[in-house]
Amino acid sequence: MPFSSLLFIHLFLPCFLLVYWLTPRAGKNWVAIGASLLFYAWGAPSFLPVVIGLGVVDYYLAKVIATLRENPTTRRRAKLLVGLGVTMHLSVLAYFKYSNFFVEQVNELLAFLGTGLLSWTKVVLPIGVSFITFEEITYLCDVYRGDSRPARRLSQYLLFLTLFPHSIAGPIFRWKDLEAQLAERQHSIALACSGFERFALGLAKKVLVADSVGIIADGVFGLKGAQMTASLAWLGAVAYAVQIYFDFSGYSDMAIGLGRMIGFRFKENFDQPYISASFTEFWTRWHISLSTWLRDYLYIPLGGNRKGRRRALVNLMIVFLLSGLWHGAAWTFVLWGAYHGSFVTLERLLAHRRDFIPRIAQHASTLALVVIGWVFFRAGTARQAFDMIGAMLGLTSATSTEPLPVDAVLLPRFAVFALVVGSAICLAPIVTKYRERGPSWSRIPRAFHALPRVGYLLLFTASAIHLTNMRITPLIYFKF
Amino acid sequence: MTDRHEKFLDGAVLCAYLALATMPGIAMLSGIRGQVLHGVLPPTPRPELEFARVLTEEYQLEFGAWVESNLGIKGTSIATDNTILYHAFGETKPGAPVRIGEDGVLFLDQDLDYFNRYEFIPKPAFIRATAARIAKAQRLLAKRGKALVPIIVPGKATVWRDKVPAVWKLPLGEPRPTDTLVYEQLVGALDHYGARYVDMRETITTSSTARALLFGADARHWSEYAACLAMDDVASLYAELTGKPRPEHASELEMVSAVPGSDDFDLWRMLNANFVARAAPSTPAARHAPPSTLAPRPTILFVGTSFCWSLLREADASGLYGTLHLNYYNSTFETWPVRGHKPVEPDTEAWREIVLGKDLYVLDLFEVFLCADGYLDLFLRDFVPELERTR
Repeated sequence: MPFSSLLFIHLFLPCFLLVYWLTPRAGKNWVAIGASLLFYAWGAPSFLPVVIGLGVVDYYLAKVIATLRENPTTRRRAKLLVGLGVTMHLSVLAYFKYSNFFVEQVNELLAFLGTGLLSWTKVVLPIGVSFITFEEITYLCDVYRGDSRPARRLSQYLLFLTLFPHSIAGPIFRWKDLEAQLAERQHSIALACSGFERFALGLAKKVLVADSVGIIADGVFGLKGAQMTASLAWLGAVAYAVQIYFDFSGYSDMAIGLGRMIGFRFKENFDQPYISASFTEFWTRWHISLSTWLRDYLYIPLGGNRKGRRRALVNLMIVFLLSGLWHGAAWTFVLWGAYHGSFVTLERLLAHRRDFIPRIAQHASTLALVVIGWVFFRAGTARQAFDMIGAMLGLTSATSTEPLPVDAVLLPRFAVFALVVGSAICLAPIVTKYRERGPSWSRIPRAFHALPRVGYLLLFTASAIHLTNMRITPLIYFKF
Repeated sequence: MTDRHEKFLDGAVLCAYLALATMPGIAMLSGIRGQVLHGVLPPTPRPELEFARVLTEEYQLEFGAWVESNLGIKGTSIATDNTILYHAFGETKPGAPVRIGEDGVLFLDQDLDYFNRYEFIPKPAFIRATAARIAKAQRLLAKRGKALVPIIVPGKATVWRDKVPAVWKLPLGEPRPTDTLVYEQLVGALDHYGARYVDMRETITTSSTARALLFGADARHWSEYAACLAMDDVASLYAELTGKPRPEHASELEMVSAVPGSDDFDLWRMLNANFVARAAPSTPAARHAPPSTLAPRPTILFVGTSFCWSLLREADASGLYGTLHLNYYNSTFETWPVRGHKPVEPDTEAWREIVLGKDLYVLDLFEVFLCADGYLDLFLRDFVPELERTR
């Protein structure tokens, strides 16, 4: 049940909110748990027992780990238990997310060798498995490190795992971020109102921009390699860059907004990533909860910067390769991870030697390279990605005499409008990036402060109307 | 603005959001569907709750589809969105069946697809075989004093090709591949086998009558007047093939303000947008003379697409014919004017009763849908052997 579905907006959400708000404070968490389990079961009913089962195991395991880590003589056993817990979660992730890919690779090898193939029933990827697994690992590691206390109540931990605003597509939370809020949080009309406004913004990003621009991207990515021209390839890649940003950041906005409606204050997950002047900066602005997770739970445990420069670079590459693989079990994602890893590593190697490059060139080159990188992310196969990138760089040209399908070159005006507006929204903050933020808002008379609120209401109305008329599309990050 | 005002504003805004979020659900429970939509599928029925189907997620999908199709004030929401798209951007929603051409001429996506087709075109052998079957059926029926008259029916994009917008036009040149490989092949094959036919594509595209009066700019089908002209030509061939008196159709134009009845296929209606003026405020129709005394009145079976509805109406209004049936896409038999329908089940008594007893057979050769295993192919494959068997 995507947040941008009529079922969610017009049925699930109002019913849930009315029950939640009318329930006394003591029962609010139970209402949230019930709704979250229903929400999760709606999309992955057969995986729900696994989530609950793992949550129960985690809950008790963390308590044991917390006890064992207190005593230096049993600390080693605590470490062993953390290792077991992490292995258990990674095994679940490996089975559900990577077993199909692994068997496919083995079968390709066996086919090449001319021997019999492995028979295999495809495993269905449950929604949110990548996010939930990371949160479970975080919990065990944080408890072991002493960064977090184990949950006092199983219900609170289950709510942390399954809380519907973030359970299926992030942002990735840490127990310590939400622990206090799960136990006690403030509810107010102002907070709920700002939640709706944030939700409206996210819904508009997804429905009005991402889905519209996606039409252009789908058309271009549907072309054969021999039909691809440089202009079409750039158009498709730029459209996809806008689509994925508005899709995922829109989802994060909706998640943050939903959290506020029920008293939670979630951390931001995006910070205008396309105004980055380097790949390193990009990763401090894009999917922040994932990049900080990878830093804290993979890069640093691998040794981070502590074991020398060469090792740090190797660690970076490992992190980015695994980040790519986390996004999807396909070589295209691995290539995407390697692509980003290479540039981050290169930037680390060059360090301050980039300073002589004019700022505008740094922005432009980063943006262009990030856009090229999205081709790996979106392409169906590595071959398609290389064909398209070849066309973008002018290395190949269209050889097909076949006319292009109408849908590929159609460019609906609304989609073009969304692309222009979306691109402007992505890039406009560059203008103010290097200026100190002044008290400009406070200079505006208070009477006009209500105007953005009217704008959010209009956005919500327009999105809901547009959604009713359109095919509902799932979030791109659902498949991760 | 004071803090008290801020609080009041927060409360008011929150209420507004809740109202917007709950309104469609409340309207759904109250059965308020909003503005009437044209050319849409009927609402999905509510699925039965079964645990096994919940586990496979089938129930969730069906429930979601049920909510989406039954949501309250849906019609108003859709019409509002379509109105914004039409007036602000001059287009219909992506995936919509209706597309806006130059000067507001409307097209159905299927017609544009046909106009742009360069592959998956019917093979020459198929077209020849179809023409041969038509010629054979015509001969077999003529021997029995009956007639079979095929009508070549043009697609909208054929008639209004100059109004197909550039973005919707593949660079295939003129004539289009479908002009040469479908239409010209078909005409050539029919001539080759000696079949007699009515070429309404030729009539409409070369007529001195204003094109919009023969094939409306905002309609998918030909006009009532064009149907009258077609039936007039059919009547001539009927007389020629059977040697019987010619049913005299009037074909005098009359401007009527009423919108024709084929609601679901009228592209203007299918826009489901507000404040869109009709291209032609009045609809041309034929003025008929009082029914002639021709007796006995020939009975007709029409075989084909929705273009046949106006032929049926014309045949009925002329008062020149007896029982009228339509074999609609070789899927259902429709009786006129009762409009009852039953399934087409070849090789059954019910099928023979409707199909074999007619005096006149009118085949609608709609160029867009001419293909192997299409309605025409299937009908002829059943009909011709039956004629041979009962000869």
